[in-house]
Amino acid sequence: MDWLNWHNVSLVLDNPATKWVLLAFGLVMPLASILTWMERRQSAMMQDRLGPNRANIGPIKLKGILHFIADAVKMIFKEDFIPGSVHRGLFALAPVLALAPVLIAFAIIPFGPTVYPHELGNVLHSVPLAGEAPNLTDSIRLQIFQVDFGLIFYFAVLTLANYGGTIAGWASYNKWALLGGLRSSSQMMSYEVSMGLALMGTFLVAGSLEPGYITAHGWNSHYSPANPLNWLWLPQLPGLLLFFVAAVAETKRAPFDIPEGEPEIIGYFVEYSGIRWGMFFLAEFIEIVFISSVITVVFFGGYQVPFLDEDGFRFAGTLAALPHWAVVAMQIGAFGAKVFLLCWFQLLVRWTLPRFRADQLMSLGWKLLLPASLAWIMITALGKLILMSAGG
Amino acid sequence: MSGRVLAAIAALFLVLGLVAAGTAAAQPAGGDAPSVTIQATPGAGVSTASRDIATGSGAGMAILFWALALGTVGGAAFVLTRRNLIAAVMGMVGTFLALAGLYMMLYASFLAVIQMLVYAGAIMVLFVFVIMVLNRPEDEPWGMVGLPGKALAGLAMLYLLVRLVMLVWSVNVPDTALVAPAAVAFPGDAAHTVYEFGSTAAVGTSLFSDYLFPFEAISILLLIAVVGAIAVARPLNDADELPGAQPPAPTGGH
Repeated sequence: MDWLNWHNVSLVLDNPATKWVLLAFGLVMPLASILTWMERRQSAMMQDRLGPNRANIGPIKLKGILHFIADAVKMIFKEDFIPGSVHRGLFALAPVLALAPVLIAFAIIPFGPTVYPHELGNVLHSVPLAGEAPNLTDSIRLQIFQVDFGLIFYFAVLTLANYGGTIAGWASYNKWALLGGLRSSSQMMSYEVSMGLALMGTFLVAGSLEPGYITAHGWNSHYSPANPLNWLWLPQLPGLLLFFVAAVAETKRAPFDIPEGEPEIIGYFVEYSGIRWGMFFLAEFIEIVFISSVITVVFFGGYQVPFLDEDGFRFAGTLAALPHWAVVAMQIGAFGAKVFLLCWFQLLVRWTLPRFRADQLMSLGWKLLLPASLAWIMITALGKLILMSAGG
Repeated sequence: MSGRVLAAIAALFLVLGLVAAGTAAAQPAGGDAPSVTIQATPGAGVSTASRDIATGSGAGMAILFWALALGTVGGAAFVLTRRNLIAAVMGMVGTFLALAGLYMMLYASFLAVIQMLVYAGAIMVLFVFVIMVLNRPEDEPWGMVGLPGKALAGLAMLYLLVRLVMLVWSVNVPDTALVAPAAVAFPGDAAHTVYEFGSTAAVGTSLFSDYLFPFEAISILLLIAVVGAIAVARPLNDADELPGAQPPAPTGGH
């Protein structure tokens, strides 16, 4: 068992492929699956119904959480019906194009701090004690793809998700699906613009496009990033609101569910059945998780726990020291909790607001969100200019 | 579960696997240099050599290059051979994506994401949109058919090919040009470094210093294009509007 040491373990765990598998199957897929159940239960609670609560494996019931397993089994074994005149290749490609970009975009999300496996049992002092050099030779960075263009990569990949709905509508050879595809395409194009511009203010303030940098430094490197008042939600509150509205529109969910219109107007996936439809469905829920992750990372300090530095809780000058493993576990947990709360909030929005009309949707995007985001960039830039000239 | 569904799922995982391998290998040699080096935790001695799998061997980069080159050429060939316009557009998206990967290997990382965002994303979505709305392409206004037309087209293509090959052969790349660009400290923040070439900071610095005038001139040109498009698209007065563009007034008395 000579090979089983921290060096080799961190080599394996630091591999982007390993990290992607762990992130996708450990956090994203389970959360998205639970959300499919949670959405129905939450809507039921809000409408004074019971909702799905009966799926069970023998005596194990868990208030119906097992419904997502039943759903998955049903979708996989359901007949995969393909209408006669569809374009076969594009019909098969569309669900992949809807699902793959969202999963790829998770590469830039930092879901925890950098882990130093040799120091897991020790306190990682911010100023190393005399005679005790921490062993930092191996490290596991809990972010798959750390690049200086960070969040632009997200926008670049998510424009590809646009093809999913559009191609599905076109390949189905169905007038209603085609119209749904056009609605989806125009809506996603319109709101992508506001989405990007709404985050520009945060880039200006943070001085970087890299989500890990924004998380680890807060918006001002002189302040502790662990203080919730130093997170970007406070100085960038209008940017947060603009981004949230545009992002909900981008997920194509109520009140912006015109492309799908499941109950009555029929959307782009009307000809899809079985697991192919399931891929569109899963993509929508993964998008909810992803947008929550982006908002968490940019506006709510990512994995930062309030007042928890890398050596323990630091409050009013006193330090309650904690070992490295506890800090790491709490920070990963904090990231998951923040993402979960934001997912819950998006479900709440869906079951609270009625649907927009198509023309209202377009005028909201182009006549309100776009000018407002441009104005907010100008205001942020002006504020930064004043602060910079005052500071030096 | 039918074979086609299995094939679709397999295709999804193939795409994801390629991207995972790509993110592993696309970070060029030199460890974390192209990325922002984060020092949230004490001790700068974070080992970066082990971060990227393809750094040690040139074979990984070579395989990646050939895969991307095949993707570029294969996508273009797909565009030429498709009768179905939307399928052709998807081939073009593939070409643009593979090209973005090649840019990434050349350390032009900002250019690579902009290529994905603008070409593979925005412009090709507009292509799809226009094709879906128009649904049928116009016939060529004029064209030479038969053998003379083919011969002319073949000669023109041959000439273009010869000139391109001559150009490529004439470029002499010294070995010093193959070294990765150096990492420089980010202006105003010594704690993290970026590449002096191709990174967001480098592109931004040159756009707003050396090339400020062309940059501003192009933005005014684009503004003129936007204003022009709106002017062309909107009717001059209400009488010009197409009949039926307005919904018929409710007549009442149902």
